[in-house]
Amino acid sequence: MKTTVYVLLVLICLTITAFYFLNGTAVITAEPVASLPESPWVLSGVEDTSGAELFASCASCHMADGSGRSDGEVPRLAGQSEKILVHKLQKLRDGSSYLPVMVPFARALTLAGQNQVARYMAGLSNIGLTVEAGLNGHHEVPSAYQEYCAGCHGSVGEGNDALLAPKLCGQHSTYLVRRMTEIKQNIRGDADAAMISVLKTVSQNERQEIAQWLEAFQCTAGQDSSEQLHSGSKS
Amino acid sequence: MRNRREFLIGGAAALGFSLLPTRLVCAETKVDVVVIGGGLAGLSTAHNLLRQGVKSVVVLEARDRVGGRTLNLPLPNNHVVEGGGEWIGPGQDRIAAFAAEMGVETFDAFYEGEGLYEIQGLVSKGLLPEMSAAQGYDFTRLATTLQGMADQLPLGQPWQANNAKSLDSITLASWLHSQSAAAWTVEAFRIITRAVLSGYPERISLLWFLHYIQSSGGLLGIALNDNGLQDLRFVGGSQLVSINAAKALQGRVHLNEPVEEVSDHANGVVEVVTRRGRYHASRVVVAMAPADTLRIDFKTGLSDQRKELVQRWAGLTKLPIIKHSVIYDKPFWRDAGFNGSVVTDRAPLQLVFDNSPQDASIGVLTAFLSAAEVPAMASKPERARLVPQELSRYFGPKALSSIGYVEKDWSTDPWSIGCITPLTKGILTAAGPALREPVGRIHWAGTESSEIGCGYMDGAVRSGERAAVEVVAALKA
Repeated sequence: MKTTVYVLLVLICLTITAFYFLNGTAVITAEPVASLPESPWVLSGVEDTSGAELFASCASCHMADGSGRSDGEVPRLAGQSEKILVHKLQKLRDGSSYLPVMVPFARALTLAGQNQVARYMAGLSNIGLTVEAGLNGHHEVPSAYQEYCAGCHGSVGEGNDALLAPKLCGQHSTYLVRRMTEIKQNIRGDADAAMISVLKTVSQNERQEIAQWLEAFQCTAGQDSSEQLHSGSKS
Repeated sequence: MRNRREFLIGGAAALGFSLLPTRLVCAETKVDVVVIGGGLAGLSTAHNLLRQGVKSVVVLEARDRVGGRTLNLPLPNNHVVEGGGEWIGPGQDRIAAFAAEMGVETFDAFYEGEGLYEIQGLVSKGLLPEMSAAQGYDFTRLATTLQGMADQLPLGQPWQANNAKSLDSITLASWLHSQSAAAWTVEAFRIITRAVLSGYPERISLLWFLHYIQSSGGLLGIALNDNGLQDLRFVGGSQLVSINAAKALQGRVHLNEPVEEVSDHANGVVEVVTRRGRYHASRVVVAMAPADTLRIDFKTGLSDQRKELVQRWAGLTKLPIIKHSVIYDKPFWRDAGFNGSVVTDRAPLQLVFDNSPQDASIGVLTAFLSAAEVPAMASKPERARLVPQELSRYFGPKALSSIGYVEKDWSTDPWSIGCITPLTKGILTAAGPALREPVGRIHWAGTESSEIGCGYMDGAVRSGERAAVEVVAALKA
């Protein structure tokens, strides 16, 4: 009995001593440069097949608000046309648009899921860029855009579902410039012949001008294009 | 006269032959085994096949390089730093042996001095984070319980456990809450799941977590750096193991050849179609992460379980990692008594390691972060600016004086989804056996399929050994 108590006391002392020596000491530091958003998609643990839940997988690259990345690596999807998104996902799934990075994501969706997530992304706000909002300083649509792009992509880049021309307004300029090069070279194998032809005549400077204007022009999902051009207001 | 006739006939035949369509003339390449994937698992498979007398092997790799999720990035003065998997530790014998066989040595990762922790906004230094006795006790009791639960699982077949379904129907966070875990304990587990499993306690299936810690050899090994699974680095960078392994295969590795279709025909031939060619084999080993196999069209079908496994895995919420290495004139933090390691629960940088070359001629701090978590660091120019700022919080203003950086962003890699993605509820019990169960003449390898070392380089090498044994037995049958 005495031995047991003795051994127990020694063990407790050893544990306290080890804890004392191994335990860390506080260090004062500054606040982090960025905070992690309390994204419900991360923490919810909810498993359902709603568009929002399906989008959680897309969000790991396209970001939780669908805004993509300003360095042009990942496009903004928020507010894109639902029909265009479905069309793109279908082509990525069947390989007719060759983009290996997207294939598992496209094929992970059922056809119903594909439609749901496209609808969800189309409904996400198209606003979120840090460049000046609205039309301040951008009333003038660049002549290069009017000449080369407006015929299919709309007078202010709002897109055209019938022509399967994506909405371009609000897209990252870095992404647009990269895609213009890729489409001209038909990297994905599905480039529209008219696009290739047009891009052969658009100069690098004109591409930059078009891309930067499109990035700054903040269109809203569903808003009429002429209304946007004339209202001059932030959405 | 006779010679001239033969000459004319021969000439006519040659002319006719040359007019045939290319596909008929340059037909398929026939081999015994096609291995799809030139990472550690695929290369280990090929080497083990050769060792067991199967010489007719080809390894098809989509990228312009081998190594898969191991990748060397260039540093000044011909040094390298890893953009992907890099460390090994005690118990990881098979990767150690494979590397040694390929002439790649190891060296001790640098852990002299103090590490830093940031938990619940509190930064502390030491071997362990600063914690109260109550916090220490609570974490220890639950870690011990989890380790005990992991020990009960049938190794490599967690779905066979009696209580598998209930373990797979709850997340790690839910289980911790059901055990009245303190907030600090949950945060400590957040560090572990974020750093090691690339996920969160709120999303990870308890069964997957237990399987993972059992497969790796235990929670302590996972959590420890020095003398744990982050103990040793490879001289020349971990990708060198694959580079040397490919060289030793003497022309059997084909780069830039992504596989698009696999058809397991009834006549005993498996047809493999790539962007560049066509192969006929008796057996195929797919040495890839399960979710990545969705890029291949298995035209003759797969088991329902296999389809469910890969479909669900690819659709999971992910935390794809960016390994961003900031380069300095020297490892200045060592002079201040720090070993460069930082471990956090919710700071923008999940982890930091001293990844300086062995001779310390320059200093390298490698930060793990995920753009999904930190939108402010989603773009490359922003990372270049903000990562040193974050490092300066831990190591002072000298961290702002970098001479450059290199990084690997796995989220934009066209051939690997993220790096390692943990499973959420229900998938392991519904489809776990499909990790390894061959479908017809198609076998599976890759670290995720390994009983031991799942998620690690060691698991990749072991999976290649197992797949080779399976294939050799099948070829002999």
